[in-house]
Amino acid sequence: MAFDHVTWIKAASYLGSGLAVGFGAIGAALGEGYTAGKANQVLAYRPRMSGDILKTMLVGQAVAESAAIFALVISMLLVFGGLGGPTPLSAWAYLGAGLAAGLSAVGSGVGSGFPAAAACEGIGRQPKASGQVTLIMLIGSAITQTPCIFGLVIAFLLMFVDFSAKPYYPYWAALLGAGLSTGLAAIGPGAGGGLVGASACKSVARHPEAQRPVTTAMLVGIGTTQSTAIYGFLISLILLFKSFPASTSYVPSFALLGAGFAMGFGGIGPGIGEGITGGYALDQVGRIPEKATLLTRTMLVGQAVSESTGIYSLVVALLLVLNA
Amino acid sequence: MKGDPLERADLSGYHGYQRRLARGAFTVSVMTGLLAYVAGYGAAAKGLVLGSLFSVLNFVLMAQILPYQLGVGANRTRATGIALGSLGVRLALMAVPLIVAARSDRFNFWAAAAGLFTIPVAIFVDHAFLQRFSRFRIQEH
Repeated sequence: MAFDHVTWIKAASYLGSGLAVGFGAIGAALGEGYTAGKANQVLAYRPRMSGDILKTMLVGQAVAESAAIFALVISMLLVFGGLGGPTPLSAWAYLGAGLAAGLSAVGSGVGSGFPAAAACEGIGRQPKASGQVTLIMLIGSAITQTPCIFGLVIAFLLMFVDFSAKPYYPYWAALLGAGLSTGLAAIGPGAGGGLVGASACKSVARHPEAQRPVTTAMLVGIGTTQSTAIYGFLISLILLFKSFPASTSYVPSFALLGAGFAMGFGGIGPGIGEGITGGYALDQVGRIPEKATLLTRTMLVGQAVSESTGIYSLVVALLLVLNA
Repeated sequence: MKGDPLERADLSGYHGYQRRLARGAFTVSVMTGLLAYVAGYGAAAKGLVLGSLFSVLNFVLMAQILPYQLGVGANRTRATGIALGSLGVRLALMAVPLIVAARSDRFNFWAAAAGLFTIPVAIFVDHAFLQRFSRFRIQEH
């Protein structure tokens, strides 16, 4: 079986396409399943509200699916976009693109399910606040898609920037590492952002008059949760655009791949941890809105501490990139 | 299914909302497409309308499947399984306009991809802006 570089590029783009849509579907389905399970629980004690609960679920899931659609677009471009390349380096770029789009959609897909589930629960308890709860659910779900958009941007860069003039070693690892860094680092912030959005929905349902302070605290909370996704995005950009000297050794290649893994895995935990912190804070903002400023400040301190391991990962990834 | 709350539920408001949102979103998309066509962007107009048509089809399919998804009780594992199956089918459906646009010069790929976001955008615009003006609100009944 002949395996020239054209075949390898085609095989890698098909593999990248499968990874993109496969991971993307997993995240959105988990989020949708969680929402449906929670809606069922609410229907058990509010059977007369099934129309409203279904409507909230439908709206929540339609927005939550955006992450899977982003992954689908990348997947289709990889197969039908007429992509190719003069060197085998393109194969690694397409594989990285698939990983960036697919993995980043996992967190956002799961995360978007949390506000939708909490909105169903909130509307079941406080039907009169359904408009406010649905609106805050939509805002929360929309911002939760941000890490997925970072993945989409890196995937586009990997697919459409011409890397053919770069040396194969160590650039194959830089391109794959770029996809892994943003893809993996987006998982935690996506899920964490969803946890904050879910608490915001519950808080507004409990105390609809507190919508303004809850919305402000939610925006700050989700924004901070996304920081490790930004670190992952930053490392990916450095891996894509910093010049690395050609090398016959495997060491620089694995240093660059290690940088992608370091920042990618390092971003998962802090993203979820910050989401948990934000979730508890939002819960209290809904109970005592007059203390929103103090609670938001305390939330930010907690999130900053949670983020420290993400910063360690960023430092290690930068050291690996600079020493490659 | 005995004792299923959805069996005795009135879902007319839910189905009415789904119909009106789908109709409103597709109408706006077709009007935008017509404007783009008149302005000389024929491929983009066709791509946009094609993408939004499949976005609406996906939404209608999702709306039909949701009551079945809720019929599985509070079992989240089964609900996730049904969600994964349903999502797989709907993603395959939404791949159609992208494949058509990628293979034919008559449709712009990026406009088709943008068209796939018609429903999420329509939902957001409806709740964030139009709900404030009852004349334009997508009524539930």
